[in-house]
Amino acid sequence: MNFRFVMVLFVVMLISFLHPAVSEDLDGAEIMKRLNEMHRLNAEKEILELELINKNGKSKLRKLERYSLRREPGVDSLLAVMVEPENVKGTGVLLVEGADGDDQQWLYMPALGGVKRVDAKDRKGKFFGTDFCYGDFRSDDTALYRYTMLGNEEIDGRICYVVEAVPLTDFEMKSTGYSKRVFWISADIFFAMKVEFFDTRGKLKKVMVNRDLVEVSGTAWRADHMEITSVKTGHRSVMKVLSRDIGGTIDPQIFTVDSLKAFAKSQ
Amino acid sequence: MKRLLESIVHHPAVAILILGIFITPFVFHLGELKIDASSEGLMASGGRAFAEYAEFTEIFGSDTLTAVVLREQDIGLFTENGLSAIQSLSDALFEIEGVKSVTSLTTVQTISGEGGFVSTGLLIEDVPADGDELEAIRKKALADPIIVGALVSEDGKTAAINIVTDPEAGDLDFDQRFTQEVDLLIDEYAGGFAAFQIGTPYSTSYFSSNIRRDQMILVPISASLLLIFLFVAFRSIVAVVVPMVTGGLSIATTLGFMAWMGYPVSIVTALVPAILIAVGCTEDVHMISLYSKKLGEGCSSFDAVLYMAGHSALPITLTSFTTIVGFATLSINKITVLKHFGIVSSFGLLANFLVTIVVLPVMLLILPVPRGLKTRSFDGLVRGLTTLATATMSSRKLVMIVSLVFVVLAVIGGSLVEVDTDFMGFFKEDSEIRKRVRSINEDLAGAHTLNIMISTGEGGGIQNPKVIEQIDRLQQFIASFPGFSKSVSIVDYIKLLHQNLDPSGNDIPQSEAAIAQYLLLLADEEITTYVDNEVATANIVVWNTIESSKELGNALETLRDFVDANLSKDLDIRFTGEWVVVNGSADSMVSGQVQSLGLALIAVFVIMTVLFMSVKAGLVAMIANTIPIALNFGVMGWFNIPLNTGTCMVAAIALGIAVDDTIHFMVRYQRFLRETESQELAMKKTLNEESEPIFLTSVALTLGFGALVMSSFNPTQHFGVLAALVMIYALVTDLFVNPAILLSVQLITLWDFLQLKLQRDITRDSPIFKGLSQSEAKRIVLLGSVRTVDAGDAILRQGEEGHAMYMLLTGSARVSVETDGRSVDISTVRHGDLLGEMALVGSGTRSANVFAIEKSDLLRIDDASLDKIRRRFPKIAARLFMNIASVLGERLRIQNLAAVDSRLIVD
Repeated sequence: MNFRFVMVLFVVMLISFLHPAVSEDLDGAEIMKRLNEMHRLNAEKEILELELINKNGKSKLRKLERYSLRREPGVDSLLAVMVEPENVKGTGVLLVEGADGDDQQWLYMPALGGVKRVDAKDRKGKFFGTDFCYGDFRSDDTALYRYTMLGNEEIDGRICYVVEAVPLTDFEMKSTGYSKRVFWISADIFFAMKVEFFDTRGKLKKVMVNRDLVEVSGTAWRADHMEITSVKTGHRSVMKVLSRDIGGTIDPQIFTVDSLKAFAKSQ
Repeated sequence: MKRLLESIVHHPAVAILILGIFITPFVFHLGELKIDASSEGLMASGGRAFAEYAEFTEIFGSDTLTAVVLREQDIGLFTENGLSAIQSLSDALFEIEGVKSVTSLTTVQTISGEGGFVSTGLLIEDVPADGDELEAIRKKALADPIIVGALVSEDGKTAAINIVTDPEAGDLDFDQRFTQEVDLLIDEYAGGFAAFQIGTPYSTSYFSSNIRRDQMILVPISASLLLIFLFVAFRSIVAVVVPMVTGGLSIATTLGFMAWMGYPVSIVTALVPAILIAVGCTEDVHMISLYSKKLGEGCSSFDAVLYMAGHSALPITLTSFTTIVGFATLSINKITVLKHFGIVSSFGLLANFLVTIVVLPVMLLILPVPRGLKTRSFDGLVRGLTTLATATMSSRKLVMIVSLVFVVLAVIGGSLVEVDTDFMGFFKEDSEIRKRVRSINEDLAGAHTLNIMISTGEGGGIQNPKVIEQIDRLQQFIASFPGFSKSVSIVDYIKLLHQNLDPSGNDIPQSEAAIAQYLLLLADEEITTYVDNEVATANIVVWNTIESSKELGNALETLRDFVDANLSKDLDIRFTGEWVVVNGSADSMVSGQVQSLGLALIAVFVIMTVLFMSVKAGLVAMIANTIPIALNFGVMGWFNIPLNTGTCMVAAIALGIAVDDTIHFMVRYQRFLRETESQELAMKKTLNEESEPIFLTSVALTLGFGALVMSSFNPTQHFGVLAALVMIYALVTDLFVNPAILLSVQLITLWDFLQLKLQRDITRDSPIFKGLSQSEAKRIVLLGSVRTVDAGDAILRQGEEGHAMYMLLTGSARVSVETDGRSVDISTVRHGDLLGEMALVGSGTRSANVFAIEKSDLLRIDDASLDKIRRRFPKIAARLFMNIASVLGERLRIQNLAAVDSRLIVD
């Protein structure tokens, strides 16, 4: 055998072994774009179990349903309604994104019988007292961020791109409450395995980890176990997917204030 | 024991080697000694309060609070610089290890309904530069009932950063380390403010450094005072060097023992070295006294040491033992530091005893014979005391009456003693820590919190509007209570949300679902302090300015009354928290004190009863030692000194120490009593011999304890003064009251002494007790006295006047008659036989000589005693005289027979 050929083969093998997925020369923005596109689903319904674990290790369970619908590219609607425990059943949050960026958000509390508006520009608000913020469920407007590739790291046996996302506008920073996020995005399926969130003064605020990945359709993947930890308080929130329906259709009419009430009552 | 001490003198090298093997392992641990100033040690382990607090921390986490107080100075609080400083400082403080949470203006969440939107979020997300925005933040903060008082003063000029810490268990250095780091961060970030920290870690580390200071100052002062005193008393450098060496070795061994056991030096165990010096020195004084006395008589140094070892063995063993028992009784206390103190000090005294009996004789052997030892400095004073004490013997009734008056006054005073562990009261009024506490109490809600745990017993129970309403009522009552400056509970959050979401409604939401849904809006991490995970138990955090356990106890009682009278019985309401447990330990302290004292008294009673083989002797010793303790409590009551961790130890310790002199005194008295015929004479002799050592040791102890006045802690000072005073009461009691009691109580040990000497039932043995019961015979014997004679001594002399008869208890004697200058032996008498009984019935002239053949003991009964018996117990007297008559009759019969015999021979 040709010695030169063997050497080349060896070097190629070595390189591919060391960088199995980093064969393409992608920049941060490209990776984020792929992440946003590959896992997009038009209609999605999930039944979630929410576990809140405080610093003393005590936990409490809640159950909720979450619906999301993509009406047109970049414009989503989201509805989350509590199912358990009994006395908070029907408490819901509705987020309707406007095509012009004019988003609207409502809170419905059955006990008060009324719908309250929530400042949709403030994406820092906590999602039902958890460590998740409303903003954490929404995808970035990539135009408002600068993405920088920081390198590669392995998580759970998957090689990940480490990408830093920094908001370009002060407004974006203040409304999300994050001066920076660092994503660990698996190189094979472009799924975020881990995200670190930094507060407006650049301090690490919380860490999200996604586990139990499942391929739900085509290129789309989902995590059945999402866990977020607040660094300061040691408080953790774990979201587990109990069931998922991605093939069905969702009536766009449920994403209105009136149906929020009615929907809550029908629960 | 005597043999042991003497063999130490004969084999000093071996003794030193054995002692070295005992103490060296402990000394090696010295380096591991830790200081613990945490309040945990002041808590009573076990018990309800402790369990409740453990339950609380299990649910709600630590409540150990530190406040960094920032008062406007060069920069304003609600300015960009001011708030930025607070923000940076809050961030930096959170980075310190062991910090669980940091709450400040820049980290606190608020609930608002601004602009028609409801939102919960940080009060300050980013510090604005704009003046209007800053003003808006100021208004919002001052209007927020949860924030104002806790994080900012009402005038908006002082802010607090509240830090909750929860270090790893067993991290004794945490408080010290944390306090230093906080100080560094304050210097770094809070330059424009007048800033300081206050809280449990600061207090304990402040405590700790004061303990160190105390150790550095008290031990040397206490030691030098004693050494100077010893030098003055004995006028010899030997008397200084010897106690210094024995004290130093004992202290090193004891501290090593503490390290080995893992006991840290606390405010209480810190006293041990000073106590070892003081108490240890009394043994040295007794021993050196004996040695110098023998030297003075012209003995060689070796003989003097040997004599000292032999003669001090018993009393020193006894007194060491009683002192150890006195201190050991403290180890039953539930309060950890007192328990440790009991164990450590009794070990220390044991070590001191061993070190003293080995090192002291060996040193006296090695050191050159001191000349100065032969003269005494306090001779005049001691003689004066002795004369005074002897003089007062004749006015026994007066002494008893005066003592009784003092005891009654003391008991009245004692009933006024209050239990009060005022943690801040430990420190002087002008100390830095108290300045800080005053400052935070003025500007903010106070330096510490207590928790009110309200359990419904069912998951979600707190969401019941009725429960919310009850908690609200309790908080309103708390708001009206002077010592409680502020309270925060989940109800405050619910009310705020309700105001914003349903402004038209009631103050409190009326449905359970509404409350549950409000709770859903609050960050779970934010409310963990106020409601448990199952929403079954709520916690009201009550900020208060109460410092003393008594005040806190009263406040809690008032709260408890309110709860019982106004709130539902279905709610389990408990008051807890670090502060409550520390202060609640006061109760445990009192019961511990009573138990320790009781045990110490029982120990004294048992030891004295065994020693004198008489229950009465035990009682006398107990009474004699109760007087100084009663006086101690009386002084505390009259001078308003509270019973706290420091002062509560005085009584039991004092008892353990003071009983030493009583033992010496009673042992000596009893010995003289056997040698002399009258109690008064025995007492005079006792006073003569015992005044000096009792005086010297009392003064030494008074000085040793008195040195504690130099302590930085009020309780330690109080302990020092009270203990010093008790030593003086004990001196006075021993020299003036003890003789009165001992002389008034017919002594007491004679009967048992007789039993022991005869080793047989005397009532069966002696003809004069024939037909009398045990107790009847005892009455007669108790009126007599015992006399010991040596071989060859005359018991009766022919022709002498005499009004007493004797019963031979031990030994034997020869009866002889002198006729025409010739002595004729008549008979030999043995134990149980009577002598001189003729004098009681016939003329007072002795008809024969009686000489002891060997060393013998005699029971002496004079006609005055017989008179008493006749008057008081005629029946016993009748029997007794009958017995005497029959003895005489028998003797007459024998004499008649002898006369007949001699006549027969002559004839």
